[in-house]
Amino acid sequence: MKTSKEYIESLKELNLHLYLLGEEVEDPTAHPIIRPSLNSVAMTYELAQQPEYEDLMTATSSLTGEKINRFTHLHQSAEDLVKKVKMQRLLGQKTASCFQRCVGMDAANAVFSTTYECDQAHGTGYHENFKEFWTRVQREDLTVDGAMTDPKGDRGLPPSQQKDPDLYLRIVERRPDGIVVRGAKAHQTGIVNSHEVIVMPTVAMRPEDKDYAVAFALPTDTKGILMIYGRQSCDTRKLEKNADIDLGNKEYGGHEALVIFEDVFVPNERIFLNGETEFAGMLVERFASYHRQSYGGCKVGVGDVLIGATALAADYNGVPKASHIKDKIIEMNHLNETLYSCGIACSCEGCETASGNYYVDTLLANVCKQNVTRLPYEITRLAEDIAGGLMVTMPSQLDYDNEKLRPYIDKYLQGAPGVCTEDRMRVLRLIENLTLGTAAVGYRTESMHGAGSPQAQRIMIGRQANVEHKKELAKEIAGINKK
Amino acid sequence: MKIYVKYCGGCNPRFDRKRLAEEAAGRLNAEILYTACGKDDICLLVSGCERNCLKEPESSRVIMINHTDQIEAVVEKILAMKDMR
Repeated sequence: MKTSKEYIESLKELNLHLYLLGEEVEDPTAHPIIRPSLNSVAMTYELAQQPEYEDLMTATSSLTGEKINRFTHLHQSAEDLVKKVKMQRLLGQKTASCFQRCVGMDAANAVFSTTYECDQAHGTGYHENFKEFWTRVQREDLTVDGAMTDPKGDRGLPPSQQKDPDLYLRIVERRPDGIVVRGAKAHQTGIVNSHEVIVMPTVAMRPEDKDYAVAFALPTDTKGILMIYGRQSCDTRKLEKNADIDLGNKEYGGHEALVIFEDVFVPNERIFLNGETEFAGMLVERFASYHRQSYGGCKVGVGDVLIGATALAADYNGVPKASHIKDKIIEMNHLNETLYSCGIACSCEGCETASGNYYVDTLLANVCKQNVTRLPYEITRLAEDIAGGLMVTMPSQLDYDNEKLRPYIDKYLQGAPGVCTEDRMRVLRLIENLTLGTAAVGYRTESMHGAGSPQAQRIMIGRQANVEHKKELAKEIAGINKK
Repeated sequence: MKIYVKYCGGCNPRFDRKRLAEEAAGRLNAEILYTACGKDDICLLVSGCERNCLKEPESSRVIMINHTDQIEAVVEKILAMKDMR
């Protein structure tokens, strides 16, 4: 396994084609806006090296028998699925942000089982392609982005009916040695910090969408891949002189990017789906379900930090014993643990796929994510309630560093006796960061739309809730069949 | 003396697991090892909560701890095990 230092050094060897705020970035690992997100991924390597986290952070490879980072693991049991969620909670606690490495793990597990079943049906060789690729990922401990979401254009039309045919990523040329693809993937979490990208279709396909039913993996610096870094609320604070307090979370963060594939060549051995339209839906559903499970871990860990920050703010404001404050913090914990319960439940109920890896209970995974679209919003509302308005109105660090202004700020922004004003400012900025700053991208809007928007889960819940069985139960109890 | 220590994954620990293991080892003047233990080695399993999710290793001399209050008892158990050897 790589150390965090080796991981960062390995990224420096990539030659990414990346733009941020209109300018090309030469070394993403050194850019102040990007670096915190890199630190978050590096934490997935760091914790795997520590004995006190090894039980969650590492696993034994089903492909090689070697010890690997769990982020590259193909789940071999329901216990593995549970450990995945626990690992994600741990990383959320340690970074208070999106640590980006889940999406590749979820893509890998979905592609592993789907390629197996596709090969059984079509006699293709995608599963072996994927195993060879993933063995290298495990051995070299690579970070892999999972790219699903196409720009989609007119949402009312399927891929092949779009006015602009590139709005869903597609095959534009089939050659003896591979394929050439064109299109884009939006919201790509962690791609700038990834060595490789797995590309998957974003919707179920019809036979006429054959050129859009495509899955493959490529190094992120492949010729023709262009990344445009996503803007985050308050992102340019990181460019301010001596930026610290105002960042709320100086060390860690997350990122997304729009990724354009401009006639990119994919060699045959890296192709995992090539026109088998009936397996596009299976791949989408499996990836989505794994990723909906993931949110029952990562968001909970971030929620742990937000609850801690809120309780600290109450202490610093001098109101930790007020009954309504205590009750609100209990409610925040109740909501957070509800999400965790969903993540654990869909893992415990996981089952083996035909390929041998383990898959979550899809109904419970969708219930998990549906709750994630709601409960973090209530948790942040309660955090803002307890923090008070100062979290969005207090002076900047630049003011606090001004010798003339600092005594006024210390005097008028003091809280409970014995609490230094700077500490009070720091915890309020952390709450700001999580509820409406750079980390709110991950904790709020990503909770809403990441791994699928709320309606996507409702469709799945509707399909899987087995309402006919419930009707029969009701008839039995009501004596309807006995008439 | 050598103690083989295995930690749970630490998803939601109620105390600092590493500090607890180090305190126990410090009282016994023992060396902590993180490699896999043999069947006759003393193995301390440190769980951060009552779930005790760690799998027991093959050693017949396994001690589990999941609360800071247990440190005295754990030290005594380890001493007893050492004497029994």
